[in-house]
Amino acid sequence: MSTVGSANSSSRTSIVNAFDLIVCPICSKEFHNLQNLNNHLDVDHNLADHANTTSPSIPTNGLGETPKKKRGIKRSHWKTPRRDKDNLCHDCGGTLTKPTGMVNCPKCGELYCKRHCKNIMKLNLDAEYDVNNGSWYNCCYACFSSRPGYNDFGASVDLTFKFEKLRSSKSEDKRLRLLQLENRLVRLIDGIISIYENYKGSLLMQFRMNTAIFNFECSVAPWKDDLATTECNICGQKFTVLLRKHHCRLCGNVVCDDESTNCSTNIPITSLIQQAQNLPFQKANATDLSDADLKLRICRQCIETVFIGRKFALDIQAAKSAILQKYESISNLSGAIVASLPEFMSLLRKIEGNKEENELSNENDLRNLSKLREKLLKLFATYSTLNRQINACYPKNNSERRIQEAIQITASQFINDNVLPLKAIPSALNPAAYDARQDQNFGESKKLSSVLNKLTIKEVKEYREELMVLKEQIFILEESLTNAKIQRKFDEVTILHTNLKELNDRVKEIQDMLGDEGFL
Amino acid sequence: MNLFDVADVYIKRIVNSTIKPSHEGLTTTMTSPMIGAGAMYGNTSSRIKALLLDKDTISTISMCATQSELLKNEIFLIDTIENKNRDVMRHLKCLVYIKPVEESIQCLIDELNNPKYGEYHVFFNNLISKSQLERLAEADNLEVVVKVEEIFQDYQILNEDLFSFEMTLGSSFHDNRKLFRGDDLSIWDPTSLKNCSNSLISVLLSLKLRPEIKFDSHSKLCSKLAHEINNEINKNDKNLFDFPKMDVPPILLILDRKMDPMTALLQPWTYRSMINEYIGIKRNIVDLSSVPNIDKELLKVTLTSKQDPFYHDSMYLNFGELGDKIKIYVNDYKKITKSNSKIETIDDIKQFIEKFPEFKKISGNVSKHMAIISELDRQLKIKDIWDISEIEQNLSVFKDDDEDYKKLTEKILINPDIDFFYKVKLCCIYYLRYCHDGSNEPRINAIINKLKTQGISLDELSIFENFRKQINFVNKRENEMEQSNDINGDITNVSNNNSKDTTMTHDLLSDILKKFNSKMESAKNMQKNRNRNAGNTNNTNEDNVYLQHIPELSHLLSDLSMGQLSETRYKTLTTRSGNVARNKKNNQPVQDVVVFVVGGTTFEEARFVHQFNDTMKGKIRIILGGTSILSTKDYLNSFS
Repeated sequence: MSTVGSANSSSRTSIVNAFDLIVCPICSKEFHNLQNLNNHLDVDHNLADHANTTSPSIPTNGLGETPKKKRGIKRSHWKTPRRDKDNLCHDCGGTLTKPTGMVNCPKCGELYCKRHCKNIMKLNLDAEYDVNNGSWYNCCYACFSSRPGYNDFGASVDLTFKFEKLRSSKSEDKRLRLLQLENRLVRLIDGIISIYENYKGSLLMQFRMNTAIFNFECSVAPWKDDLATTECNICGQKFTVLLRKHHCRLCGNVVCDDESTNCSTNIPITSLIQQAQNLPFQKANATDLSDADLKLRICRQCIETVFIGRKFALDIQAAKSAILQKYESISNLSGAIVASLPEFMSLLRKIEGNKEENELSNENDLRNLSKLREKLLKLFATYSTLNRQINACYPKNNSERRIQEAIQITASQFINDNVLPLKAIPSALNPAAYDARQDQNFGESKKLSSVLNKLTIKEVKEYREELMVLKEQIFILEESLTNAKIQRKFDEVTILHTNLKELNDRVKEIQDMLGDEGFL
Repeated sequence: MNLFDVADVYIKRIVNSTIKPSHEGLTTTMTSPMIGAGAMYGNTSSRIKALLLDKDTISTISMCATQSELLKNEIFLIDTIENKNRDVMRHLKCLVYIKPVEESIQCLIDELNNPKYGEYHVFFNNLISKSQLERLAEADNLEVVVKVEEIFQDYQILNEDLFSFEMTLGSSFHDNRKLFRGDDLSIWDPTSLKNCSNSLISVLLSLKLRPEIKFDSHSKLCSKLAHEINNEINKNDKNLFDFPKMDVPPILLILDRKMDPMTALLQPWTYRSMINEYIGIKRNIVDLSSVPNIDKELLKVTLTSKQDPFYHDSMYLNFGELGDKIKIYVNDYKKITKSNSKIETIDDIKQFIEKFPEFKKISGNVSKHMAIISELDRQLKIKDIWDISEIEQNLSVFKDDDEDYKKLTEKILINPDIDFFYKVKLCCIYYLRYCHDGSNEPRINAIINKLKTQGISLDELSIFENFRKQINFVNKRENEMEQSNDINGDITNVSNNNSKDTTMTHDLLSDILKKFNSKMESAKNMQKNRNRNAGNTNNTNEDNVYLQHIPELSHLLSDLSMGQLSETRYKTLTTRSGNVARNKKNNQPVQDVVVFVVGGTTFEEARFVHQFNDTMKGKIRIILGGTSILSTKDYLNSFS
């Protein structure tokens, strides 16, 4: 057994070195004995002080123990080379001979050739990786690369908690403000409706009602003094004869009604109620407001504070668009397909394996396989119909159109990736290929094919070709059918329908005849 | 230390982002009925995800992930955060991945004020400041943000061992601001310094390195950057950089382009760098629209070593080897087409269909590379690069050769077909070679006069003057440094002398080599009519006239691997106090090194690093990076 010297291993000079060269762990220079190496380490690598502690000339403890007995690195786990057989390098697998050298990796103890045990790392006396107290040893690549932190990468910092804490510390004030505005909105609407009820039905009272509403509105929100303000609170434009001052009924600020900046809007009460249905309006539902012309002027900021969140929640709860809904089902379907493919593949492999060994496959397996295949084909059929449906949906906006395109690409990719193994099956079940390959097993394979169907090979081929052509025609017809529907040419639609039906009938006929032979 | 692996980890993190349940607890306790809608109604949201990027991250993502990878993860909508006209799609989950710069943060704030999607997972590609985070938190009224995370990829990955920050060097076109200032370009622009150090920090974090910093002490730029990085690491000592200590500490080596200008001036001869030189490759995209008679499908092609095996194998091959390689590739392709041509039975059709996608891919790839290579060949011919490069290489490697000078003045400089750019470049190379001894001054003046009689424009001449000025500055500084070193220690002096001796012998050897080469070359030229890279049949770089120059970096790496890197030239800053004393004494082994070249690196240097990594087989792993990847044009124009 050969060992690799290290700075403090001079005590092991007595160990027999199978192949006389010792390699410096730092610069890979070779030496004939450990003493030379030690000198080299002391002089060239400045390890002198390190080596001193273990130098043989200085007894290391008071018990007078000779340095030779001083504990070196743990070696009990080292593999001993076998005498009866060739020893193989644990890395490259080559036979260990004199030229290749033979060393133990001091950490894992496996045997290596010198070339594959040249990665230096620090080990302590227990042959464990130790950054602080270890000294250099030549180790194998496996030990070298499994050092903690060596192949570590991809640091990341999760700030979610910090972010939420910051957010919640800020949100207290905002929530109070929102509550205040909501309260005012409820009071305003309830108040205005009750005023409306009082004056309802009398045309003469219209003017008095408006005054009453005005006075009431002033009392709910603290209106800012409009004489003191000369510019809009939001957009900062100067008020003029044309740009009139308005008060926001919720916050009381003075704002303009410039349509381009949209600083304030006069909103009908009914739509306000509709947009904020979860607020505790008392009168809103009791009274019929359909012919009442009641409006509230609200500034943009208040609209945003009170209504953006509501609109957002409503949107979230609203039903998904057709494309998104269909995508859910198509992705469920693809999940189901992916889940059942491995079973299918393992069955297929088993049968093919049997065939390789000229054994007759278990009929049960064959039946299961064709059943599974049928199921999968059905799933794929539904998949492609769904896919077609998604394609036919009319996208609401540009984003939906892009999503639609993306789904198309993924779907075709999915079919491309996963239908292939299904196509491979005819060669497993196909008696034609089977027969051609194995004439001597003719009788058996005949039996096999009779399990599946009773057609001759030639017929199968012909029918299959017809089936392919038919399917293609059906596809073209279906496309023109949808086109016709979109263009509202209904007379064409009926003709196409009858054509399609005829084709489908024929396809069914052939499929029945072919049974499992129809691979398309 | 494989940057592609790092990128994969990060992309996976983004696309598979889910909310940790522990955080939901915090959200629900404080939600009013309408706030927190994103988290509350998360169940009704679609599985489809949108991905919002900014102008920085869009290139990071596009260089590391393919469209189909993203599609596989149900990311069906990709947009930029700067785009304000996005449609409202509140059933979608939104993944945001941006660089924490002011513009992008403001875009995100606007987005959160009126969210277009149902829930947001926010990722930053570098450290975000506390005030930025606060502003975002304030904007998130509807509590739609369910996740905020910093990942670290504020750099462009060009190869598994090459990265770039894409900082434009010279007077960049838009803001007219230079990376560096001062007469000798040795002062950082403050914002550039900050950006550069931030990006470099993100490199270290993404590789989980807490390095020992070494820098070229002759360069002020390097020293400044090294100290900046060191400060940053020490500041985040406990929270970010507490990686397990390694027995062999990783090294960050910061170099300056100015210390090896030669490499950036020579015409390159390997595939990737030639594309960069003659056609231009930006973010893995090659724009072929200026090529005459180009196929419409090939106007813009992408070249990624990750997805294109041919490119992966050939990008560091020289032009001659490349010719052989593409020949084999085309032949393979022809074989496939032949097997496709005889489709008779249904089985054949089936096989064809099964193989068709792959077939299509290969055919696209073949025509792509053919188009690029023939364009390279065309450019080489019309620009007379064969002649120019030969002289360049000879000038760069051999000293005091009258033959070269003759060739330069009598063949190249008076040739009216050759662009002034190359003539100026040759002047620069000549000057760089002979600036150390004054005796060559008349020759340099003669060259300049020759150029003037040719009618060179003042702008082009000023490039040379600026270059000359800068080289003089660098030399002066180097001399000063060396003198101070002389006082400091005799040992380095001895080693310097040694190295001088070796360069002498080296010169002698290479002289013979050169003679051999030029003879080889002329013989071959007669035979082959300059169709192929001369010396190709020998196939070794040393024998090739066009690949004689070896970048400084290569010597540096071999010094580094043997632990003989000059401590006085490359000073060490250590981040863990107490190591300093020990390191000085102890010749430590080297394992993981990040080399960063201030002022830009070249694909030629990248090739050397790549080959170095290959030969070291994991014992030493090197990653090269630079403020940018330079072509000779980029570099020379930075002096205008």
